[in-house]
Amino acid sequence: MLVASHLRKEFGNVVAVRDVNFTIDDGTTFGLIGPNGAGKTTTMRMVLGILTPDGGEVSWNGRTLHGAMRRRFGYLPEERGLYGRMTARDQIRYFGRLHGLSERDAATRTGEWITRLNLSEHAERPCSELSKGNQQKVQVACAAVHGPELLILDEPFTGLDPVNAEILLAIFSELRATGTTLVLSSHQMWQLEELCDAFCIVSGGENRISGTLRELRERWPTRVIRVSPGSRTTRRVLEAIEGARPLKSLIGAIQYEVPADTPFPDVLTRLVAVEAVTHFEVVEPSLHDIYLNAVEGEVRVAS
Amino acid sequence: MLRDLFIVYRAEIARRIQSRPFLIGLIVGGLGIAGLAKLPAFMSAHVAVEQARVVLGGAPQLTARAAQLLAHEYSIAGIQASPVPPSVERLNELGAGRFIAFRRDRRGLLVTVYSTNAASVDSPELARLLMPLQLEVGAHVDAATAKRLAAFKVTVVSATANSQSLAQVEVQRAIALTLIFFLYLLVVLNSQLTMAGVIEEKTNRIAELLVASVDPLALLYGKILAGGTLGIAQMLVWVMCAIAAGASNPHAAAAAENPADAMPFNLGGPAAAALTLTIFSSFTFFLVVGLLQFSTLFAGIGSLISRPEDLGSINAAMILPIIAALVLAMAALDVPNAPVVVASSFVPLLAPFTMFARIATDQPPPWEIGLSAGINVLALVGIALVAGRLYRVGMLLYGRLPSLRQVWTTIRG
Repeated sequence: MLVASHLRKEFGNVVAVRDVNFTIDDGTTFGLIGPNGAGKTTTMRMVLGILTPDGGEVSWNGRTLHGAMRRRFGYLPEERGLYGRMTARDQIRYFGRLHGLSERDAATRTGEWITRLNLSEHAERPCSELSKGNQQKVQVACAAVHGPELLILDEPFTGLDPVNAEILLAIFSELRATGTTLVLSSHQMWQLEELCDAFCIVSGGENRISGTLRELRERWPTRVIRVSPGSRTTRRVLEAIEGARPLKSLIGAIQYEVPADTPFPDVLTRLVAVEAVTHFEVVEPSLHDIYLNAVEGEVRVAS
Repeated sequence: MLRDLFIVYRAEIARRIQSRPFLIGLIVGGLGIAGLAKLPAFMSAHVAVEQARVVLGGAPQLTARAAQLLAHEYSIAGIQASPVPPSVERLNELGAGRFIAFRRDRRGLLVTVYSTNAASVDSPELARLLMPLQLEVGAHVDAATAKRLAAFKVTVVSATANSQSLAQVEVQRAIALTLIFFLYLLVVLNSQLTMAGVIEEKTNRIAELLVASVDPLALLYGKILAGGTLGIAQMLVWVMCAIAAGASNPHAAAAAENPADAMPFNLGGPAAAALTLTIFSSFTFFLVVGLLQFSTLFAGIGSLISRPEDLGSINAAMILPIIAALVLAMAALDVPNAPVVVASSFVPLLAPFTMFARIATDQPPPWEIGLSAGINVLALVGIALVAGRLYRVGMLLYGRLPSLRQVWTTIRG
């Protein structure tokens, strides 16, 4: 289990991370989300031991993090790079060695990752000659070749075409299935929603909200009811709900924002009693909505 | 950390060996040192003119006969009645490079050559020319004795080290100058390569992945040691070029002031006497220290650079101490005991050049050499600690160069 408690980091007069806290259970996938400059990368660097926190601490399985533990972690930074003249195979093997693998293990696992990522044709070419997508695959292999217990991926999908993004998604799912704890940062909310078990949204260097998606949704104050047909009678039923607010209509349907604790079965009963309702839907807030709300500090309507 | 350092070291060596600047440096340096090896032979041609003029000394009947025998091969600059050699200054005045002393004892004729360039004395040939005189001197002995006398040897003694001829001083200066030039080249080339490697890792953004995988200090020191190793390897290749190109001279060991101080290989000609083991080993020591000092400094400072536009200005500033050291070393060749030269031969970064220049042209007291070596090894440790702190922070620093105050804060930790 990884626990980050009250992390703080300053660079001169700039407070990059003010107070970040989260707990990540073993084998889960955790989404660390926030706008640019929120302190995500600095937090990740502190988790990895690249930066020393000015306050707070990071512990891994109950022990305060120290330099040697980083061998058991893997990291794919947002700003990526490779040695241009080194071949893809040598590069992956080198990082395997740096993470403590023996020469033989590094060579074996490098071969496995090359096959896994469909890089066999490019393995002996200098990295500078590879396409951006293939370079990114090499970088992922460099981060994961040693079979890390914790893999931190900062914007792993940036620059990837849909096919390669799918390959990576499949690999992350495989890693998760084998018990690797994943920490992901991405602006692609739909991908995070699909992959992550829990989230922490940071902004201005501190936690805004954290928990599983279910927990985050439970804390959301409103829901959206979507009903067809959008007749006068159905409108009248929805407007009778305390705190209801009409939203922009869709084709053939009307939408109302209502308090989260609205008795939805009662509403449906009332609607069915007055109109031949063909569609009734209670829309939960998406991660995107929760993120925007947490970051901008205002309640947004679920879309 | 040692394991990581070794992995980085190996990878760095593999990467550097394939780099163009290293290969160019190796080839150009090799050609240069081969040229140096040929230089003595070239200079010998000039020195030989002087060596062909001799002064003879000893009993008049001996010197007169010797003058006749040597007349075809040598120009006799003067004859004196005493076998005691004149001063080198006197030889220089006469334009002579050698004094040949003739004595007679119970064994027959004793010939001693005092030469300003001992390496150039062809003693077997001289013995052959003087053989008739030897036989005349020993004519009263039997045939067996005459045969034994015929195998007489000519003793070659170098002129005193403190009063060398102008030609030999020039050769020694040329050797020292060339070695200082190579020291400069090796230091500049390898320091720049180390800095370029650090900057490359920053600009291609692999630095973050690296420092997440391995202790930054292992990364830094692995790089520096790889640079040092390749610098030494370059030098060894250059030395091999010198051996391959050096003219053969069977008298190299005898030519040195002290035969035990002769080089294990032979450059030939005047260089054999000038390039002693002492000079070569001090060159190697100060090369290693200088290389490591500057490479470490360059790597530490290089880690603060992330924009190409900053590279030029920082590079120029970084080169200044090397140029200052080179200028002082040049001054040391002419005035090795000048106060500024002596003082700078203890100052880290300057001493590898100036102390070596002093050793190559003069005989500084051993305690000064030891003190300078000690100070510079300690300074290297200090530079490594400072560079380590800069590197740890600098590798993740992007954008504008940090101010001197920020750098100072980082160094203080």
